[in-house]
Amino acid sequence: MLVDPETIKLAQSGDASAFNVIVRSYRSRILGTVYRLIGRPEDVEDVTQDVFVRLYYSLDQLRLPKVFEPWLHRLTVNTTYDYLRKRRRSGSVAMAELSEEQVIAADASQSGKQHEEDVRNDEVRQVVGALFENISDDDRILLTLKEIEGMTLKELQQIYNVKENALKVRLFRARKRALKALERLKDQGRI
Amino acid sequence: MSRLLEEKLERIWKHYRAACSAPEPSAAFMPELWAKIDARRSPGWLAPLRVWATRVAAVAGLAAALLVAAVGMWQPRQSLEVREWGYVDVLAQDAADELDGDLWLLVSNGE
Repeated sequence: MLVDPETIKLAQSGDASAFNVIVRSYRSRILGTVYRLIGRPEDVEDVTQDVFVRLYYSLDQLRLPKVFEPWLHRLTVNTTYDYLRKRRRSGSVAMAELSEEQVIAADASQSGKQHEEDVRNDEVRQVVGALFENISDDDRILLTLKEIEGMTLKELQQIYNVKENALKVRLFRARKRALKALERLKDQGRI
Repeated sequence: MSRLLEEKLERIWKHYRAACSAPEPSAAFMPELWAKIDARRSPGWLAPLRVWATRVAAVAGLAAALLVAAVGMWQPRQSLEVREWGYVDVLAQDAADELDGDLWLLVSNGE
C-alpha cells in the first residue's frame, strides 16, 4: 500500500490533509490506469478527478483499510465504465479516430519533428482504440486490467467480487471476443 | 482462432502498455479536484433536513414492519375459520343435521 492505514482512518474522519496525502500517493497510478482504460489523453485528468471525488464521498463506507487498494480500483472501474457509457450514448468521437493531440503528434512527426517511436505509439493506440470500439465496455475494462495493467486473478477477484472460476470464464470469453474483433479489423484492412 | 492472431493480440497488449505511460498531472489537478468535491457537497441548511428525513424513513420502515408482523399474526386464525366454514360446508352440515333429525324421528316412532 502506498499509504498507511492511519492516514486512511484520518481521511475517513474528515481530515482534508490526510485525503490530500492519499490523492497525491495514488494520483499517478490512477491517471495511468484511466489513460489505458479510456485511451483519450484529454479526458484522463477529468475522469481521474471523478474517481477521487467518489472516493471522498464514499470513504466512510470502507470498513477495513487493508482493502483500500482493490476498493479504489473498483471505484476507478466504475467511474471509467460510467464515462465510457456516457460517451457511447452521446455518440461522441469514436475511439478509432485520432484525438486532437494525436493529430498534432502525427503532423509533427510528418514534418520530422517527432521521434519515430512516438509515431509507433500513436499507431498502437489507434489499433487498440479500434479494437476496443468493437468489444463491449465490460470486456474492454476487464482485458485492460488483466492484459495491460497486469493485474493478477486475485486482484481482479477483489475488484469484481467474484469467484476465481467465474472470473476465468469471463476472461476467456472476453479474450475470445477480442480475437474475433481483431480478425474483423484484419479483414477490413485496418491493422 | 489462429495461433498467429493470438500472438498478434499479445504483441498489441505489450506495445500498448509501453505506449500508454501515465501522464503527469497538471498543476490544476488538486484545485480542480477540491472544486468538484465542494460543488457536490450539499448546502449547510440541507444537512439537518437530510438527518430528519433519514430518521422519519427509519421510523416509517419500523412501523410498516410491525404492521406486517401484526397482520401476519392475526390473519391466519381468521382465514382458518373462513376456510373451515365455507358456504358449501354449511350446506353440507345443514343437510346432515336434517338427516339426523329424520333418523331421530324414525327411532322415536319405533320404526
